[in-house]
Amino acid sequence: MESNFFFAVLIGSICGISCYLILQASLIRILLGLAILSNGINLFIFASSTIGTKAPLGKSFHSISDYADPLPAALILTALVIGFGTISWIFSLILRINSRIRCDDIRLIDSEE
Amino acid sequence: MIVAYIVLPILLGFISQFFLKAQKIIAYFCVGVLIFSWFFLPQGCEVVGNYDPILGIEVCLDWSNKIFILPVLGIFLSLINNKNLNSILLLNLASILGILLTNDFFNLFVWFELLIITSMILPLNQKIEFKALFKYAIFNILSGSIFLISIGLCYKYFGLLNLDAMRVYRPVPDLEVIFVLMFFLAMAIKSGIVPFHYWLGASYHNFNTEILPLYLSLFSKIAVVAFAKVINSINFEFNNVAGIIIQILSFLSLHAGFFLSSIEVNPLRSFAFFSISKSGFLFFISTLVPYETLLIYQAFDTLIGYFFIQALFNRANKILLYFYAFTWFGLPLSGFFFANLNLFIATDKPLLLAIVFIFQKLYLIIFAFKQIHNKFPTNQSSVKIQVLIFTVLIIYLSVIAFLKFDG
Repeated sequence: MESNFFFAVLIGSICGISCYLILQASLIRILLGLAILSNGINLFIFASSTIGTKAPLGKSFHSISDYADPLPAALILTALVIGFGTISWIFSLILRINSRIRCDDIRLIDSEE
Repeated sequence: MIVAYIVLPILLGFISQFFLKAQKIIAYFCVGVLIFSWFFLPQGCEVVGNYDPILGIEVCLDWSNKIFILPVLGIFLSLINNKNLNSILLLNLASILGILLTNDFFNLFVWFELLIITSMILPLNQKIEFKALFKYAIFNILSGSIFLISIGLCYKYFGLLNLDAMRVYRPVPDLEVIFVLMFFLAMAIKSGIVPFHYWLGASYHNFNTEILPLYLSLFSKIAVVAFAKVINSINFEFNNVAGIIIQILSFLSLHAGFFLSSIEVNPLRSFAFFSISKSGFLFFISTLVPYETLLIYQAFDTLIGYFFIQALFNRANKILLYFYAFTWFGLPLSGFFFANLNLFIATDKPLLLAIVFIFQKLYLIIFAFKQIHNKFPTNQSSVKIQVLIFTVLIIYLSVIAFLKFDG
C-alpha cells in the first residue's frame, strides 16, 4: 500500500512537471517536458506489475509471488528506445528551427519565418 | 509468411536509403511483391520469436484484414515517385501493415510509433512552416504517450497484452472503462477529433498536396481501425460511461468538423477539418458495428477518399470527379452500397446508426460538390495511372463486398 502511494505521488509529480514544461513557449522546455513525460509513463508501466521483488533469474524457483514480473521491464526497454528516437527527432527539428530563424519561442516562429 | 509481409518493406526501406538512384525501382519491387504474394497469403496466425502467445507476439491475418490491405497497397503503389521519399513510404507501409496484422497490444503501440515517426519525416521533403510540423510532432508524441498509459492500465487490468486472450480474462469492469477511455483519448488525439482538433488544421494545410491525401484518408483514419480492433478484441459493451463519452464526442466531431470545414476559406484547411467529421463518424459506428464490418466499409472509404482528393489536387476533369463522388455515396451498382447496407445488418441499434449515417452522407454530398468547384494547387502526378489503380481496386472490393454481404 505504501509503495503504491509512493509510486502514485512520484508518477503524478513527474507528469505534472512535464505538463508544466510542455505548456511553456520555449522549444527546449517543450522537449524537456516530453522527455520527462516519457519517463513518468515508463514508471507507470513499471508500477503496473506488483508481484515480487527478487530478480527472475535464479535457478531455485520456490514461489512465483517472490519474483518480479519481467514483462514490464521489457516493455519499458522498448518504450525507452522509441521515446529516444522521437525525442532525437524533435531535437533535430529544434536545431533546424534554431539554425534557420535563431529563435527559441514557439510564438515567434511564424513571424520570423 | 505473414511476418515477412511486414519485414519486407522495413528491410527494403532501409536498403533503399543507401541506393538513392534505385529507390523508385526498389519501392515498385517491394509493393509489387506484396501485391503478388497477397493472392497466396494464407489466413491464420503466426508466432514471432521463441515465445508462444500469451507471452509472445503473434501476427494474425483474417479475411477482413486481407480486404483492407489491398487498397492500402494500391494507395502506396500510386504514390511511388521520383523523389527521395520512397524509403520513408515503405516504412510507412510497414507500420500500417503492422497495425493491421499484429495481435499484441504493445506491438500495436510499436507500429503506431513507427507510423508517427515516419509521418513526421514525409513533410520535410519540401519547404514547410516549422510551427505546423512542430505541432504535428508534439500532438502525435502526446498521443503515443497516452497510448503507453493505456498499455500500463491494460496490463494492470488483464495481466497480459495478447488481444485474443483479453477476450477471456475480464476481472475488474471499472478499470476496463478507464483503460478504454485512455485508449480512446490517445486515438482521438491522433485522428484529431473534437476537442483535440486544434493541431490538425494548422498542420495539414502546410503539407505537400502530393502526400496530403495520404494523411487525410489513411493516417488519421488508421487510429479508428486500431481502436475498433482493440475494442472488438475485448468485447467491450458501450452501455456505460465510457460508451456515452465516446459516442457524444464522436457525434460532436461529426457536426463540428463539417461546420469548421464550411466556414474555412483555405481549401486545404477545409479538407483537414472535414477529416475530423469523417473520423467522428467512424468512431461512432465503431461503437455500433463489429470490427470486420467497419473494416470493409473503411476499405471503400479510404480508397475513394484518397483517389478523390488526389484527383482534385491534380485538377482532373469534372466527369472523373463526379464519378468518384457518386461512388462515394454508395450507388446501388457499386460495392460500397453493400458495405453501407452491411453496417445496418450488423448493428443492434439501427435507428441510432441511421441518424449519424444520414448526417454523414448529407455532409459528404455538400462537401464533395463544393470541393469539385474549388481551385487547388496541382501536384502534377499521373491521373491515368491513378484511375487505373482505382478502377481495378474498386471492382475487386465490390465483388468481395457483394460476396460478404450478409443479407
